[in-house]
Amino acid sequence: MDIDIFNNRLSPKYKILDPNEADKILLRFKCSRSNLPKIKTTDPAVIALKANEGDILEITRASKSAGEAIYYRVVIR
Amino acid sequence: MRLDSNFVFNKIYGIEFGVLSPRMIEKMSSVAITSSELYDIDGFPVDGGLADMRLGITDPGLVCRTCGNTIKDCPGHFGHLELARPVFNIKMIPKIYDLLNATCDACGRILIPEAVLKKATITMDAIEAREGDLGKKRYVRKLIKHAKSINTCPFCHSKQHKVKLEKPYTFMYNGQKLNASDVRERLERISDADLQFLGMSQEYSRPEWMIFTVLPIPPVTIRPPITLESGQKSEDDLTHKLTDIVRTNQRLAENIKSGAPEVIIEELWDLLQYHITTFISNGTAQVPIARHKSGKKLKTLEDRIKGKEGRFRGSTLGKRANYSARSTISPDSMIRLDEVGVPMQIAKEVTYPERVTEMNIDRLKSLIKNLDGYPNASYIVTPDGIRRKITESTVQNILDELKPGYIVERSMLNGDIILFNRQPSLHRLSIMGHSVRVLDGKTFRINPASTLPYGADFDGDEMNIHVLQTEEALAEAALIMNIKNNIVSPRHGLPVIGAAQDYISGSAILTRKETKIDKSTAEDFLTFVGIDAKLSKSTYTGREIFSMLLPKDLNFESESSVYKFSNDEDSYVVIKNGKLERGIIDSATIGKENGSLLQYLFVQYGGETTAKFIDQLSRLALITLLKFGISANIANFDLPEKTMSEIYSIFEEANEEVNKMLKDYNKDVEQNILSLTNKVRGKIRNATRAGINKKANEIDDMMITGAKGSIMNFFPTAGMIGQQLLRDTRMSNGYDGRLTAHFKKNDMGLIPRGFVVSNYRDGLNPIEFFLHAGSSREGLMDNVIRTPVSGYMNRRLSSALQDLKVADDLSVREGNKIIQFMYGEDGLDVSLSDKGELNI
Ligand SMILES: [Mg+2]
Ligand SMILES: [Zn+2]
Ligand SMILES: [Zn+2]
Repeated sequence: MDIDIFNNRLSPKYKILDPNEADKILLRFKCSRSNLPKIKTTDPAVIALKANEGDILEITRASKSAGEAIYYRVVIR
Repeated sequence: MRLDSNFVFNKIYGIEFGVLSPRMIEKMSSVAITSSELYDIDGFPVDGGLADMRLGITDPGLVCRTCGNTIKDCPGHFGHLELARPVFNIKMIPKIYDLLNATCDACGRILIPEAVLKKATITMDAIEAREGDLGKKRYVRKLIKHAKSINTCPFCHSKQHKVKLEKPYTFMYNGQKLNASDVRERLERISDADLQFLGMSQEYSRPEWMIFTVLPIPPVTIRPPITLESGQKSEDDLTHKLTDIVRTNQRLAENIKSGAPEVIIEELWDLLQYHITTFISNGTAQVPIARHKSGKKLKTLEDRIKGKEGRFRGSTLGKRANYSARSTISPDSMIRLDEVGVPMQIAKEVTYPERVTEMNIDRLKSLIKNLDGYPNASYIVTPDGIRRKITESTVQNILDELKPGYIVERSMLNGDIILFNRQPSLHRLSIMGHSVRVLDGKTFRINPASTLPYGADFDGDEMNIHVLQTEEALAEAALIMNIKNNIVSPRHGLPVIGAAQDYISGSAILTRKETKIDKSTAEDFLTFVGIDAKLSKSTYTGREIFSMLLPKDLNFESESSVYKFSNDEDSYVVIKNGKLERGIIDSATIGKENGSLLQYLFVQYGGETTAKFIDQLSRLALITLLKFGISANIANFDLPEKTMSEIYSIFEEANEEVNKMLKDYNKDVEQNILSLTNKVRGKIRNATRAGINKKANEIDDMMITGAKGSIMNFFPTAGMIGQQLLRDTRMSNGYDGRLTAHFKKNDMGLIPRGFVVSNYRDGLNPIEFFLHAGSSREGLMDNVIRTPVSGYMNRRLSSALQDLKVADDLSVREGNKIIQFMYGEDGLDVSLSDKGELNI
């Protein structure tokens, strides 16, 4: 079972933000981690990325209205 | 004991529901009821009566004898009534019935063996942890059902005789009646250890508590007497019922004490049971309904909580709004589309609180002086918040006293901004800001151009207005919610306000190439529209008149509806520097949910200009139609002989093909015939369209301008109706192997399976008519079934989404919680876009 889950046209692009970038996002939206959309540590994407609780993921999705849309999710347990 | 010293500030951890124990009832009681009298000869409450002053206070000025508070602060206090004999609580009968049959009639244990119970304890805990209270409830129900089916007690091995319930509240055991005392004795025998399996608990709900030995008497504050105009006191329904209960209880006690015959005691006991039952619930099957002398049903405890008018649906979820009014709506094309015609009666009654300033004090004073006339003012509010009614005797003082900072509650005036609403409020545009226009009559008047967003028509629809009471709300209604700023829908970026039917016919006639208008008629037109222009020419074209409504710098091009049908270059709309050079103005440019011109005006010039344009255009279209007229004619539906025979041969050919298909039968034959009938419909439609007489055909004019009707309405009227469908298949169900008795069995040809050869104008034969009605019925049924389903879906969605809003940074949030980082991912306001697209 060695499947690269990101190698699929339906899978969006993921990126773990470094602490600096994460702080910038929180500042830009004037909110704390608890206000962001969440993603569980058990999510296949989180497992594959080896992201930790508290990390913020930047997800770039295909969008019907905007072409590309960026979304942020904080990893929770 | 003052109330305010008594507040407890704690977070609620949980709520436990249970049955009140007799001890608890006594403990929370502040008085034992001993008398059925309410007041003594002097009108004072009798001690120990149902109006005892220890039960709380309902008279202003009196002080509660339990808590020492006056009417404002006394919450009311329970009393209790010691019953002479136990009585069932009607709401507990089903549970009691379950318990009697789930437990042993000899030893009182649950009818499930010890070993099974041990396992059940573990299972129950697991289910509770996994599924919560609901899961536990389901499991308990299963246990009880199992216990009820067992006939020998696993503990004392005695044979079980089942208890039967004779509705409403008689239990029979071995052919003998169990009275409430007997039942209570049996319930007392159920051991504490078994209670958890029966869904009860030792602490909060011992089974025997389901039978009253002590009745809690509700405080007078929930059943206050009302003083009638005659000065007479009229008691609440609950008090009436309680009097019956106390009186019957007293008679029962006396008869027991004096050793009266058992029959009399039984009879009184039954009566007490009846009164207590109808105190709790008036409408239990087989219990006679307790009524007033007038025959009116007594309101019971249950009636206050249950149903549409009950506490939840009636008081908590639905409340009435002040400063609102409701009336039937009717159309008025002569008011602006952002106006609403308000009846004088309503304008006088519903007020707006206007703050007094240096600038408006004289005007407000003149309103105050106008006492009962219109416009007037009814109250003033001083800066300390004291409200004073303006009457003949107070008017002079108020006028002297009035100064800036006061608030005057004045009647509605022309130009006030109010909210206008039609239910069901399915979207944002169901509530919009309108400007008041006070009119005679009793209906709300609405411009027919603005009916679409409300979904309103004039077959008796009613609508509501809400008069805004604060400046902030007023600003929001005047700007954001104003109908003028909502002409283009946020859903699809098309105008939802615009012309329809006659207005489209009118402007299409006006903007035809050949329409010429002489000077004096043109003057009439422009006066009617409200345009002041110097006319120098002796004749004008319709297009020149129309151009006078347009902004001088407007450049616009668009297909018209007529152009889409005819490809005639002259009907293609071209506007250069505010002049309509060519083109027909019809539904594609000014129609509801179509109008490209309206959409363009809205985006380029804003709501004010667009609203003014629609208003002027409506008037111009109206007076054009008045001058030129349009009338449909049955001959409009005439098709040439050639077309009719073409249509008939389309049918003949199809019929022959079907017969051939049936002869070379294969398993797909039905499917193939169905798709053939669809092709036939297309062919008939096209043949009809090609055959329509284009000259002097008003029906055709209405179709191609988009005013009303389409080929889908025309071809079954003039040509041929075609196949009738039921659940997307040809009709087949009815008699054995055939639709009706008029056909041969198992004939799968076109006509025997619901193909209608006639058209609406010539009429259907009886069989065709019947089959056609069958297929129409399906649509009606679907509609009836779908409406509540989609209504509920909508409600769930609205409830889930109601608090979302777009923040200043264009993120979508619920509180501070981010739902979407950019509204719609592209951050566009659809109503300002080009039909949902970005056009740079
Ligand atoms: Mg209606
Ligand atoms: Zn009190
Ligand atoms: Zn037993």
